Amino acid sequence: MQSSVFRQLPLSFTPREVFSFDSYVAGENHLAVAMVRQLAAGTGEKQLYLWSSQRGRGKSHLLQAACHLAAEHGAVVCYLPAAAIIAQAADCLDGLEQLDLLCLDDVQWFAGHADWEVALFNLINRVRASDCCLLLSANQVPENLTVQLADLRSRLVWGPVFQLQALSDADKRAALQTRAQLRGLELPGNVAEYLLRHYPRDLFALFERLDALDTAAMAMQRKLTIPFVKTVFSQSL
Amino acid sequence: MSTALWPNCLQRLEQVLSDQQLNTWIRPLQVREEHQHITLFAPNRFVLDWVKKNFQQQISGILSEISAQEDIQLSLEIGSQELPANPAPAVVAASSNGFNFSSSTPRPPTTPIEHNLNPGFTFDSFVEGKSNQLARAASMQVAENPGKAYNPLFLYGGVGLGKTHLMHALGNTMLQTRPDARVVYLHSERFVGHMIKSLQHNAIDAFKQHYRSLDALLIDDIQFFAGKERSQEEFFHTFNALLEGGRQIVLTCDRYPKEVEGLEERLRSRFGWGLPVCIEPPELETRVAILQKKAGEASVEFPNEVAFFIAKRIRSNIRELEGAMRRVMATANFTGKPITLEFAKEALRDLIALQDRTITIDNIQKTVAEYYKIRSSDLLSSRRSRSITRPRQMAMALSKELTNHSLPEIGEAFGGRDHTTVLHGCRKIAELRDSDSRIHEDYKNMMRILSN
Repeated sequence: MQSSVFRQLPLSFTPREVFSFDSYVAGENHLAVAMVRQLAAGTGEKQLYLWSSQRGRGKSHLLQAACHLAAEHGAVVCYLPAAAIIAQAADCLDGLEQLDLLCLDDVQWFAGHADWEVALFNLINRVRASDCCLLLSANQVPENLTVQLADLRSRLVWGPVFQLQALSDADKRAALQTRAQLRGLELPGNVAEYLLRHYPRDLFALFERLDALDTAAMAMQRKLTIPFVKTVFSQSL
Repeated sequence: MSTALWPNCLQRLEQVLSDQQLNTWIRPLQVREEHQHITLFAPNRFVLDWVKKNFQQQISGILSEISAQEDIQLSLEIGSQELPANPAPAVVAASSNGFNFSSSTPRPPTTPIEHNLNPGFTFDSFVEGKSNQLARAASMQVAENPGKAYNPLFLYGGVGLGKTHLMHALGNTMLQTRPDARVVYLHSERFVGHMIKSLQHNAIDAFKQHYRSLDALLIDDIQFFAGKERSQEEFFHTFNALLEGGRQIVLTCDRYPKEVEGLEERLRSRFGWGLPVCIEPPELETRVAILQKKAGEASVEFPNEVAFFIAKRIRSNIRELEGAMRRVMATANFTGKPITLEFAKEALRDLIALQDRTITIDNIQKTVAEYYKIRSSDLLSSRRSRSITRPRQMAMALSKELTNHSLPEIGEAFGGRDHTTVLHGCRKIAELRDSDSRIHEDYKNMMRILSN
C-alpha cells in the first residue's frame, strides 16, 4: 500500500494495562464485583467462584483487580492462570496458602488431571485452614466441570458461586470508551457504536479491535473516525 | 522489616512489568530487609525458580540503582518472612495443616503438639438427623471413652456430609475432658507429606516416634492413601502401635473400608475391626435445620420457606447448601432487601436452572435401568413382572423426590400411566424401604448417584 510509506513506525510500547476495579464495567455484575472487592479487602467471603462460558466477561480482569487492590492494602497476593501452569508439576500449588490472597484463573484446566485435581483439593483444604482468601474462576459452574474427584467438586462450591453476565450494548460501549481513555485514545460515541454494530460483540474481540485501532492510529497519526476504522479493517481482511 | 528500598523497587518494577507479571511473580514475594541484605521469600519452588530465572537480575539492578550502592545483597528463598525457610519436618507438618492455625502463626516453643482442631466444630454445632445420628452417637461415645468404645472408629460417606465436622468435634471433646491429651487431626495427604519430608531429612525415626506417642490420631480422607505403598506401610505400623497401646484411632473415608481400591488388604481388614459407620446425605428436614443453624450462626434471619426452598433443590452435600445460603445472604446484604422466597428464587436463579436441568425423569430412568441392569424401555413398557415393576416404582419414587414434576407428568413419562399408579408406586417404595433393607440400600445408592 502506498500509504504505508507515510506511516510512522509505532513504538513497541503500549500503555501499561492496569486491571483495576475502576477500569471494570460491571453491568449486571454489581453483586459479584462487590463480593470480589470485599474478598480482596479481607472483609468478605473467604472463597468465591466466578464463572462464565463466554470469553470477554472479565473473569481474569476481576481476579487481577482483586490482586491489585489487596496488594495496595499490603497483602501478599498471587494470580495464577491455570493454563500457564498446567504443563508444570502439580506441586506449583504447594505453599500458596501462605499468601493473603490467591487467585486461580480458569481452573477448568485442572479438571481431568488426577494429579492437579488432588493438588487443588489439598490446596483448598490448606487455604481453609489458613488466613488465605481464594478467588477461583472457570468456564463452567462447578457441577459441570469434568472434575473426577468428588471431594474437589464439593470444595469448589464452598463459597458463593457467581456467573458473570454479559454486558448490555450500552455497557460494552462504556467499557470500550474506558479502555480507550486509559490508553490515551479518544473513542467517539459514534465510532464505538459502529464497532458494536459491525463486528463480533464479545468484549474480548472488541478490545482486540480497539487495540489494533490504537496501534494503527498511532502509526498513521489519525484520530478515530468511522472511515478510519473502515480503512484499517478493510486492509486487514 | 522492609524499609523504603523494596517499596521503591516495587514501584520501579510496576513501571516495567505488566500487571499480570506483577500479580503472578512479584506480588507473591515477601521481603525481609536487613542492612544491605534483602531476602525475597517465594511461596514455593516454582515461583522461586521463575523469579530467579526471569527477574532476579532486573531486581538486583534496580536495587543497586535506587540505593546507589553496588553491594546490596539479594537472595531468594522458599518460605515466608515469619517462618524459617526450611523448618524441621515435624514443624512443617504440624503448622501447615491445622484448621485453626495460620501457617504464619509462630509456634510457641513450649507447645508440645499441634492438635489442628477447629474449635468451631463441636457436637453442639452439628445438626443431627436420621442420616447421621448413628455416626454422631458413635463419635460421642468414642470421645467420652477413647481407646475403649470403638477402635478404630471409621466414618464413611459421600463428600460434604459432615465427617470432618464429627472428627473435629470428637477431638475437641477429648481435649475438653483431658486438656493435655495428645490428640492430632490430620488430613491423610499431610501424613504422606510429613512422611516424605521425614524420609528426605533422614528423620523417619522422629516421625515414627511422633505418631506413636499420640493418645488419639484422627486421619481424614484415608482414600488418599490408595496406591501409596510406603505411606500405607508406615501407617500400618503406626496404626498397630496405637491400637496395641489402647490409643484411639478415628478415620474418615468416602466409602466402606473394603471398597477402597489401591489399599493393602491388611489395612482394609484392620479398618473394619472397629466400627464402620456410614453418614448418609441429610434428608430434607435435616437440610433445613442445617441451613437454619448456619443462618443463626451468621445472625441472619432466614425464613423457613426460604430454607425449604433451598433444601429442596440442593440435596447432595452441605458445602453446596452453605454456598447457596451465603449467596442469598450476600445478595440481601448488597441490595438491602429482606430475604423472602421470591428474593431467594431471584438470587439463586442460575443455580436453580442448573439443578432443574441436571435431574430429569429421563436421567432417573436411565440411572435406575442401569442400576438394575434392565433396559430403559422396560420401565415404560406394560410388563408387570416383579423384576420390572420394582425398578419402575423405584424410578417413580425418585422422580417424585428429585424433580418438581407433577404426578400426572411423571405418570405420562412412564409410558402414559395414571397419576394414581405413580402414587401407589411411591407409597410401595416408602413401605419397602422400612421393611426391606436391600430396597432401602438401593434407594440410597441411586439417590447418591443422581444427586452427585
